[in-house]
Amino acid sequence: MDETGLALSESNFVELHQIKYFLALTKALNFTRAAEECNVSQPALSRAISQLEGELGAKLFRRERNLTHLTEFGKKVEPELRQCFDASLNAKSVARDFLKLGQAPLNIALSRSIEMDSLSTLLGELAVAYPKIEIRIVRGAPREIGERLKNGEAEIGITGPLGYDWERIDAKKLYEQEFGLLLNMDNPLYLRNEIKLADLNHQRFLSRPFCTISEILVARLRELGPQTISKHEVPSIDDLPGLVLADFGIGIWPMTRRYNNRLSIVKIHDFDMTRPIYVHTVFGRKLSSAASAFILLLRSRDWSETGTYERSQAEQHA
Amino acid sequence: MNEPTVDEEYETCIDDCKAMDASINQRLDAMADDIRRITPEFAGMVDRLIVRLKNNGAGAATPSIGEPMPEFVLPDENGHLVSLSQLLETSQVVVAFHRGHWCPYCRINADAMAKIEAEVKAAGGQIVIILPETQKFTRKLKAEAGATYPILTDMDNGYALELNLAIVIDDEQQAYMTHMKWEFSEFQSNNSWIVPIPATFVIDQNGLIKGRFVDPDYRKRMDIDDLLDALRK
Repeated sequence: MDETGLALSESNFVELHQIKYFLALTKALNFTRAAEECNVSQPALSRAISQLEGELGAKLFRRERNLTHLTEFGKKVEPELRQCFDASLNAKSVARDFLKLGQAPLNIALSRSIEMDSLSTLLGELAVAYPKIEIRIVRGAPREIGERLKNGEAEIGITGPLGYDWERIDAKKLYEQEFGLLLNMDNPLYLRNEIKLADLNHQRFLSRPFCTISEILVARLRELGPQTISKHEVPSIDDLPGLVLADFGIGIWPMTRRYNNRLSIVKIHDFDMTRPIYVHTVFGRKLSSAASAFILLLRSRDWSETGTYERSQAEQHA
Repeated sequence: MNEPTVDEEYETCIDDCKAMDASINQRLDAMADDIRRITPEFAGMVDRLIVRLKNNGAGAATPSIGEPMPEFVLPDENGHLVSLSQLLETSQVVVAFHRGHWCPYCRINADAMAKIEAEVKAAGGQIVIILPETQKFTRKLKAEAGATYPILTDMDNGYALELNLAIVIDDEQQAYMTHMKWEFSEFQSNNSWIVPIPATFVIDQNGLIKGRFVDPDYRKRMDIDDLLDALRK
């Protein structure tokens, strides 16, 4: 076999320029205008699109006299090709700016329930890659994070579903965040082997404001019948354990977070207390190199490692 | 005794191929024969895919021998960013694109590369493998191969596309992968069916490509002797 396995001028993989022309054409829906935007001749753009169609084995566009439309197949592969193309641009910008000084500050908006511990190694890595970068982190509820992304105050938002209706938000899933019930060990529920929704009648729940999990839980309990359920909100998650300890109620608590050793955490057998965590950005807004690198670190990470917080023996006997 | 599952049969064959006293491409050929035997319903698929890739049009291709290798900065299996230029400060670099930790040919190839790490070092080189998969899976491939070389994540195949090495998996191949329970969306943490063409580059300390193997037939990889020869050139 020769060195390359075959004559490469005869081979054809998806090529960067073909995707670039394809994406321009999906926007312009006109070969002449797309060619102008890409700074190539119209025949060159047409040829690249035909090659891409040949490579993918199906037509991407329907060409009519005055109009060009995406085919169903074109609509299907467009997000995949766009994602790969954006990844390529981002990879290039990270490679170009790695270890360089003079980067713009990176603004990150973060859900209140996500512990800094889970991000600290990634932030440390970022600080090595961009030695003088300023990183600003703000906490907020999902809706506020959506606002910040929209008005440009944050480049990256890490939180559960935004519940924010704006078509330009891009969300990439990182992991499932799991919650449990934080109980006082005096609570009769503590001794049960298994807690079901029906066992939670007449309970008082404590949560942070805008905690989606507790909102869904309480709504679900109220659907079950005439129950006296109350829900109380405390401004900071760290106010919860004290109130649980004082028998004020049951806390809604992220499983990965440390808790007081006189308390216990349990799951509800017939209710899923998880929510997906996404990294959000804005479609079509160019990411800074540091933001691209941080997203790379977030998405490539093995999140299954950040498991449930388990008290060490020493802590349990303290 | 129960009949072995397809999965178990694949595993046995992969182990046998790793242990063969033969060149890497002979081992990969043996694997290809096994796959044809175990899953005959998909036998024609690979040939059709390769014909499609080989026959299709023309275009600018991946960088050639004598050309500079584009810089990369990618996270390794522990989440540390690794840059090509930093690697080149120490020695020459062998960069190998693999399709995934699930791919039998990649697993045999990663194993073969782990076995020659000492020779590569003696020849003044070091290996990195690039996969489009997250750390959970880069670690898996690394542990299975018993490798000390880093395995880097190329998220969404961005760097592969920069080198014009990305291909879209067609419906027939998607059906095969689904049949094998290879969960692409989990491995790559995205919703796309894109993988790199396996390719190996040997890069000198000036960042220029001095050895190169690219073949759309993913069952074929750079011969180990060719790789070592390129490093010693």
